[in-house]
Amino acid sequence: MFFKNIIGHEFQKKALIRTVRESRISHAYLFFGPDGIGKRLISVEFAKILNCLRGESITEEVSKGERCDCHSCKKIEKGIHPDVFFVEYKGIKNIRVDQIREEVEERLFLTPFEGRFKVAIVDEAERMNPNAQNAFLKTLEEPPPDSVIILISSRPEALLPTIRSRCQLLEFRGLSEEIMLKEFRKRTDLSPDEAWVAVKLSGGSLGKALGLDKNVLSERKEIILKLSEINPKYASQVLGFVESMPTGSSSEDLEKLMFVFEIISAWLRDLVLIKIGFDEDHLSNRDLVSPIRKLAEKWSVDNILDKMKFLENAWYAVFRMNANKQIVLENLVLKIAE
Amino acid sequence: MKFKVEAMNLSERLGLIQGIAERRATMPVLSHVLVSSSKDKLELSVTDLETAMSASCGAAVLKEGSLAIPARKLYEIVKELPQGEIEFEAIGNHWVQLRTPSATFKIAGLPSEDFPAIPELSSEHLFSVESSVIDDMITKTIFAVSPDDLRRNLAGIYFQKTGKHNLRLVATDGHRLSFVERDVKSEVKLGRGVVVPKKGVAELRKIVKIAENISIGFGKNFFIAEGDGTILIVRLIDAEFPDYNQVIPEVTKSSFHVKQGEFLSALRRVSILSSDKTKSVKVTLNKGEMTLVSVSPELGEAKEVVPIEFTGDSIELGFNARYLMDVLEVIGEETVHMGITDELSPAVIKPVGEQVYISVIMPMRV
Repeated sequence: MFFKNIIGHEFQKKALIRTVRESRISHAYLFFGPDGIGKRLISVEFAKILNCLRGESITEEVSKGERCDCHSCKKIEKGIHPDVFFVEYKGIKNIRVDQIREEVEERLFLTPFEGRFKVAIVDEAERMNPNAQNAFLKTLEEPPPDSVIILISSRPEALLPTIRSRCQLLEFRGLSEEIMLKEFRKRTDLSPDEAWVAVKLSGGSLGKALGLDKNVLSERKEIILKLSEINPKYASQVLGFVESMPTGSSSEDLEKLMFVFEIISAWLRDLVLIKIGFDEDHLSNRDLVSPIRKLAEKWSVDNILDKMKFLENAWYAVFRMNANKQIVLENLVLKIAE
Repeated sequence: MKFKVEAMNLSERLGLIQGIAERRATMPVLSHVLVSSSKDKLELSVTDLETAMSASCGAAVLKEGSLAIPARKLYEIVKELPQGEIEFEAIGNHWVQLRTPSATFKIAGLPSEDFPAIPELSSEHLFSVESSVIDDMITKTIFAVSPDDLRRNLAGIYFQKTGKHNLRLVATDGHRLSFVERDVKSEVKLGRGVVVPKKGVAELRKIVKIAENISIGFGKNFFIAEGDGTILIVRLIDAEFPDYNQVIPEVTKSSFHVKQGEFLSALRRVSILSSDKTKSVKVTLNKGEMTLVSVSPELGEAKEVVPIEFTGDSIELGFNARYLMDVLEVIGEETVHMGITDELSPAVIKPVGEQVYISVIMPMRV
């Protein structure tokens, strides 16, 4: 009855259920793995299991039955359970010491209010600044009784090793492509080819696939076709392409541009795959097989790899070093059209 | 939910408990008061998740039910209403309507299921205590509670059963310790010792003020106090209190008696010229007299002699005057016994008489 709404992660679900059933609940967990694959959902479900008023149901088969409707589970679902609390990065700079002290420690150091366990869930744990992480160490090492701390992170390597070593680690992998495609098509009305590209581009993260910019996704074909046909000798073609790109500095434009980079990267990858003899099923752009084959005949593998390298550098220049987007893109297009 | 209630009655009860309702909106429902009507009375509950308070008042209940209503808004409205009956009625979508002969208010509430479940304790776990006794015990210990965030196990008063009818309260912040024990007349129903957070103890004093006798009890996770229809529930601190007996010296090398009033006022005067941060005062004991000296380069110097009955060797120690004054202010006895060993060992202050009250203060280096 638990984990019903969560796709995949069968091993992790079973492992968590087993710890509860055998009363081997750890005081601290680190759930890590790519963004948008359900780590947070799993942590909420785990909190429900720990506090469910129908405790006996844990021994039943997990997949059977309806979702629990006891008060505790309902409250956790709504985020208003007094013993289950979230610490989140609130879009300021990072999670600071005060937040850890006030939102975790002060609440953990009292006995549970209505549940059996106090569950503190720290989402995007890598956002804790070093001071916050250090302040957390003492509590993490030996929290008060009946406490469970769950850290969630997509970049566990950004956490201090001392934090990692105090937690039981549970790795989450991206979802398989079949599951992703099935779920994705259930929730959107995109064509199979477009859905496939979205799945390919999001590396097993359903959250990311659903969050992709639909407009850019629909322009994908056009972008690729245009890029394949640009003649570097005609400045107007190069400039025209760059002009059609979202080069503004708003976060929305940045996101779109990043997506365009990913589209280009997937396209170059397709080219390499064709060159080294993979069949069409492995391509991301299954609807563009013929133009890709045509280009593959023209370009050598080294040449394409060179372009990919250039693309990567351009990505760093734009998104990490704040270079002039216009110039970087023009350079990039010239290089690709070479 | 539908009922009629006397405005005065409701406003008085709300006034008592609404202070707990949280202003910070970490969880919207915490700024609400849970109003439930059943049989012939009204139950009002608020909580900030650390403490919870509920009060009941008589009402003419037409339809049972419950709803969470914004506490402050409700209190402000009810407080300003003229005497007379108010009719409350749930009008759907978690709204409530208040009606008096001349006014109507409709307030948006929240479903009662969203409100945290207030724990209950059966009456067999409660035991009664005289309000004045428990109030006095709290007064004698609360000042020593640690304000330090990092030592949570000291952030409250330790309640311990030491005999069938004996209740002991201990508080310490690592520099001083206060210990009081009283016979509470009824059987103390308390298993292991528990630490009640400072905030909860402060709320307890509110109940102590409205009732002559209160009942208190301890659940697994809670401390509960009940007086005159008002119930206070406090979450305990989930940590062990240290073994305080180690700190209390059984014997001291020398000791003397001093008049509480004289000692206290001398300390108050002398400490005016000690630095605000440390409040350090040098105490020199000689035959028959105690000299209090404070020296601070930027403020000035003060010196005062207090007569004492002392026959031991001369000794000089430093104290934080605030710590001494805190104890002397609440000790409630005319003559005080003070025991000392040397410059670095803890000093003990006790009242001369029957009362079991011990305060241990660490000297400071001067």
